[in-house]
Amino acid sequence: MKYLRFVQFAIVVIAIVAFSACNKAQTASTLDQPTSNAAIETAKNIPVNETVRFLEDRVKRDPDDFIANNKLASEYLQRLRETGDITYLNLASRAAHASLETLPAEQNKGGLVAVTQVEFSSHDFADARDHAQRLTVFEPNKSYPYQFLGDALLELGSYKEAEAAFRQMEKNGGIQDLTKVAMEQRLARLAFLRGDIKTAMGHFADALKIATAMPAPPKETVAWTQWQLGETAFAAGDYKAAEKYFNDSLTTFPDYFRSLASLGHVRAAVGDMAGAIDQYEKVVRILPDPNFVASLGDLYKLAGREEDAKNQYALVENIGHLTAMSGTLYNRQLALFYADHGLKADEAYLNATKEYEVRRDIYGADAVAWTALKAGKLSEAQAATKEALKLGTKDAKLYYHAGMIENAAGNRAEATRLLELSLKTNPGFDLLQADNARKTLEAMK
Amino acid sequence: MLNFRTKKVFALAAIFAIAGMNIFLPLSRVMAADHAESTSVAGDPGADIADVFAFLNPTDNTKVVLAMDVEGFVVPSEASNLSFFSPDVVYRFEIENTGDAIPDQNIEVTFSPQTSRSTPQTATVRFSRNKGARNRAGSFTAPTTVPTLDTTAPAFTVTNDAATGSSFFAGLTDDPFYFDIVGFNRFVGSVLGGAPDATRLNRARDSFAGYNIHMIAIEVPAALLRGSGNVIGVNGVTLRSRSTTRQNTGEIVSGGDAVQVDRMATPAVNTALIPFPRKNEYNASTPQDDANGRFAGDIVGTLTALGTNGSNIGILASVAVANGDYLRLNLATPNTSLGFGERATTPGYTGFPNGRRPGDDTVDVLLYFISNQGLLMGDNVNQNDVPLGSSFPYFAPPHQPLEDGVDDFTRN
Repeated sequence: MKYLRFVQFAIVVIAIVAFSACNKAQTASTLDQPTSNAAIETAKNIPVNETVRFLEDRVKRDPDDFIANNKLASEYLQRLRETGDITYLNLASRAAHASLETLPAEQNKGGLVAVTQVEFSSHDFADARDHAQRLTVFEPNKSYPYQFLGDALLELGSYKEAEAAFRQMEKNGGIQDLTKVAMEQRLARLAFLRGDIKTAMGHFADALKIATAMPAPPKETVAWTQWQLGETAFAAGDYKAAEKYFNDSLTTFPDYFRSLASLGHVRAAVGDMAGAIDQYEKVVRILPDPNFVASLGDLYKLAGREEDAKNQYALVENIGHLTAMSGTLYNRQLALFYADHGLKADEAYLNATKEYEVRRDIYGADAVAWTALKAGKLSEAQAATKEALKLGTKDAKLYYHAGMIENAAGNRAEATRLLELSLKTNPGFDLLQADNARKTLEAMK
Repeated sequence: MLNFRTKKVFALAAIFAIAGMNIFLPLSRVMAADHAESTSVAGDPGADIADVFAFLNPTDNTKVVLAMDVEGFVVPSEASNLSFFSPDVVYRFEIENTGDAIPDQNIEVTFSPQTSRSTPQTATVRFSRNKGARNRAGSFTAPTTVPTLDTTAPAFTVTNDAATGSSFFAGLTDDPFYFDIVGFNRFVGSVLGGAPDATRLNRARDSFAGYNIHMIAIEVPAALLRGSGNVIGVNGVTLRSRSTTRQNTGEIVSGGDAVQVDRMATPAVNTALIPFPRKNEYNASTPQDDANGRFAGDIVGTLTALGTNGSNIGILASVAVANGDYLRLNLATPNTSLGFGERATTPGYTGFPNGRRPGDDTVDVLLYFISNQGLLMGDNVNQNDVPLGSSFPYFAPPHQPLEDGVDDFTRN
């Protein structure tokens, strides 16, 4: 069953690869894959969404119906958000590019909006930033172009510029409900990155308050915010609060893949390995995301199920081979997976540095640091880890990587401080690495 | 009163506006796929005006119907999620009745916040004179019509106000505009490329068919709007409080004067003839600015590029410069229809560019002049996809979601 899921997933990945290879042409590959939401929902035996059906029918009758394509791209991206199913990213990309093929951006801002959002979701942040900038010229008084711009800048590590864009977004539309929610979420993220977890929690709580007070609260937005509250609480080591938020999120949006996985993580952090395995097995059945598959492998390994662990790791690697061609989507996850599991050190480092050339955020620096250490490039690792910590982010994993690097450099005192800080911040920050932090500290004594 | 030909040429401008309109934005909220993807603001309702209408009630010519619609392309099944009027936008009809470019009266509509998807919002309608700032005929409140997902459209809630002799409606309706955007843009492209190709218009697909739009309509006694002559000018404007500030408590409050976000009168001048870099400036300007020639050079430049000949450019430029952009309606020209299925050559035609009726084929009039009066058949989309209403507000009821598996092949 799991293998079947993987095959489906792999087909999707291949399709994306083929899609990028033909340089964003409007037609997707000829591979056997769902070509509509209706096909996906019929296959899943769930009622076909009427709005999407309406729009897909329009495009079927008139492939040049760019308005329907713009709206479809938006609908597909929302489903991507809700399900994590990358088939939707492919469909959204096709719709967005078909729209701009029909009418250029000057006559079709909605087409440019769709393409910008697809680029962001495909982790093509530089193009998303450039197109968002173009949208701010088209519509300087609207809030949404600044949201797209800020989001892309944030992912690219331009933190000050991102915050300025968010302020402009708020100035242009800050009285409206969704803009308020969006702003609180972004202020929360900025606060977290700067190490102010209390403020981050406050902003997420405000976002939740505003969203739930809306006349028809947008479910996925509410669930996402609850999930982020849980993640932030988890990062601060407050597992009880985290678990509550993840459960709230799942009540709001049943089977929400993000919260299913996070709930597994928190179960493991409190020592309930069987519960954690249940949870991850469930989420991997729904969505074979390489991160989730890797975590399940780690859990099997901790449970002594070496063979099962190996199978999961192999799955992650297979996904890695497929995505190596497409490049962007899972690069960072795979580089970190290799580094965490002592695999392909040089390849991981190469991929991390290559990505960091264009995407210079602190987590990109952290990936360079961690993979550099594994590849035996200590001075590069030290330089990168400094970058990763520059904002003062209180993230146990960043501390752990920094501590391991200092340890390798022979700076025992600093290594001890950082590893202790890591475990104090969030003792269960990672299924395997938290233990490794403890062992390293023991060994140093 | 302008002659008919002049008005038709002016209408050309309208079409180009369409190409750049904001209506092509997707309405749905969109986010993306990993940890960083927070809520998108795209779901907040906007203040972009799609169309403005002004016409005499076809059965009682002592009354004028004014309407503006915003936030179109609502899919029937989206009705209950996406349909509401923004509580922080002022929707204003500016009335000019002395022949200059300065508005003499306003009718302003604002909405209370939506409390639930099944409860009407309350609209407040205010009449005022611009000069003297004294309320002319007071104000009244009226509930909006709540959209549903039923197979039958909800009945329109119409509120009658005895004090002003007015009737009011706000809610979802069928989008009355009909037009093949793609065919038109391709045709214009061929014109700009120096080889006009009318076959680009053979698609004959109504880009607006099957979609709903947010409509605000008010019927008022003509006597209330009449000034020194028979002609009134109507300009649709939206305003929004521009300054928002974050309090120490984290609360976001809006303050300061409302600022104009968009304006729309003659369909297309708004964005059609104004070059791309100046569109935002144009949207924030007034008919007085038009009259002062602020955009005259831009309009002439655009028309020249389109190959419109000198006499037509002269007529058009003189209209825009001399009077500003108003939809001008002659209260003394009798009207007995909504214009559905009519052409400008239909005997007894009294519609656009004399005001604008819901059924008027504004696009065909414009195309006629794009082609220097050579193109007679228009865009081949010649009437709305559904019949219009027979009483106020005169627009067709909203399209409702279809039963599972039912396909309506007539919609585009």
